[in-house]
Amino acid sequence: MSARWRLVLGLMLVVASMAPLLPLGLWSVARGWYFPQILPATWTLEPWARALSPRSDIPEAFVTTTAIALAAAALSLVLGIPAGRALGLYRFRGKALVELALLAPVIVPGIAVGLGIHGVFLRLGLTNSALGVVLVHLVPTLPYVVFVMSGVFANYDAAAEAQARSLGARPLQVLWHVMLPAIAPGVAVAGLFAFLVSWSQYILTLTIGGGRVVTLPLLLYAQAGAGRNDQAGVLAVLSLAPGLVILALVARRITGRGVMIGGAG
Amino acid sequence: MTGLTLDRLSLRHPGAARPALEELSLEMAQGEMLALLGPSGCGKTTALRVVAGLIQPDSGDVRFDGASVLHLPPERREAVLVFQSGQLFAHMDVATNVGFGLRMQRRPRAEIAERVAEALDQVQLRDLGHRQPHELSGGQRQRVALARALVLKPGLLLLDEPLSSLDAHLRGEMRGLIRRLQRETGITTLVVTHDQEEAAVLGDRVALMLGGRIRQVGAGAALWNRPADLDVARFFGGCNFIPGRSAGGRFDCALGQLALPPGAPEGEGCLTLRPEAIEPGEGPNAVTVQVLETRFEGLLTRITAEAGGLRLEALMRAGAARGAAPGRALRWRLPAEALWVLPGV
Repeated sequence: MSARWRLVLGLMLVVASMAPLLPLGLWSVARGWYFPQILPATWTLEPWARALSPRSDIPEAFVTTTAIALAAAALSLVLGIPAGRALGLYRFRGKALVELALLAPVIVPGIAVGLGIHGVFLRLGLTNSALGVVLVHLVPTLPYVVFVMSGVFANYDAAAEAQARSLGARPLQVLWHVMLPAIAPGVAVAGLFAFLVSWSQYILTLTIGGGRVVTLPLLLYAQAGAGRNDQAGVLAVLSLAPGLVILALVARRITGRGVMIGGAG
Repeated sequence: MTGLTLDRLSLRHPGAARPALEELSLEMAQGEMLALLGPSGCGKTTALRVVAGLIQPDSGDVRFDGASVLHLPPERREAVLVFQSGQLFAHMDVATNVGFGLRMQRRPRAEIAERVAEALDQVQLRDLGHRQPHELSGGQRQRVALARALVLKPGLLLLDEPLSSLDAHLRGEMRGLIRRLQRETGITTLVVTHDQEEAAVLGDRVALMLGGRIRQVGAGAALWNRPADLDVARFFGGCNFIPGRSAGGRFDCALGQLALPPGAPEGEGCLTLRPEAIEPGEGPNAVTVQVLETRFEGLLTRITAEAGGLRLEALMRAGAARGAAPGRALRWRLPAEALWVLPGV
């Protein structure tokens, strides 16, 4: 395929995936935008000013969402890396069953999971708290991390660790100097997945957070439901922000040549 | 320099039918280079890992200079194991790889740089410190792995099949390098190999391991020419086994009476001689044989013949093999000094 064709196709892909998002962006800078106008009659930054004003709850929700997503991503890495290692490196009885069980949260609807867990969390006193929300976000984030990491470890040569031990490295030094550098690209991908999945959770946050833990998706649904298109537009753009930033940062590494996910030579 | 003692090591991998190590005992003197030779699956790599501390034996003891090291983790043992594949860390350049062990010991940066340069010099890779592992050839990678071990000045160096991943022409070069470095540094070295020739060239002594035990230890030539039993003889390509009885320096068998070298064991036994020891022509211990088959094997020709109801195999150079055609009768000499009696077989 010639370079020009590739460019054209690439642009078409970008346009096709971005087009549906365009109206959201426009809503956030429009005043009165009615059918059959193709573009808003008047442009304004007023929705943004309102969204970012001290009286708005959007800035706080932005911070809450970020903190919860960071915590959920970190926690699912801490749990998911060892699990992925076990699945990727070792063969054991019932391994297929474990892999199937890991898929379950992806298959079972979030509302069912959320309602089921709600009872448990209620008894543990974890409802209506950010901690509870972080924990329940592990339900959808952890499978992604485990799957990415088990793929990474399937290509990982544990003999490198034995070699490092024989060269005088203590177990923690092996972890830090040998294992982590070798799996770093995979950890980055898994962490980003986990962050984005947590970032866009709605049902689980609503059921466990009980409306006390307010994240961007909650505000977005509320404003959209209330017909506040301008505020919904602002929230939508904000919600898209981390995904776009991350995509811009890592697009080359994920799709480009020489990707080394797992790559322990 | 560390002396090594393996004392009746036994190990059975979970679920394995046969033990990987069975009462394995071995002594190595300080500064010695010993080749642990055996077919694949005989447990020799397992033995090496037990010495390095990467696997715990079920029973038995590993002693360095007489002191047990079984309770020590690998990083605190005086031994460094160099893996078969070299196992260079892909995310570090050559110099960083070589300095790995010293960094783990938290040595000063200047000392590390100096010793790394010295070690790269030893393996003739002085200018490649900034290369990445994937930019190296197989031979270079193996040399980096060697330098990474030598830089630590270990008491005991363990090499797992150091030449098996190399092309034939590189093997000779690497073999020479390992020998030279061992002589220069005097590090006690245990090298595992499945290649008889490699074992003979590398080892001051060769230990043959079969089925989890050491079957015979000695100079390379002794294992070839004076095997301890049938299995050892067969491993080294022995194929002539003649049952009979040894008495008064003579061996009574289907081929008649053959003269034995002085000091041969007495009584019932099995006479063996290497196929390449048989010579064509008349002389003492000459026998008449009927050629059954000849097979060209490159440098040598393998001739299968029959005499007194026994099969004999000889390996001869092209000149000596001339005239050997199936069906013809020949005279073969079995030199007394090449005969060896396995008693009680």
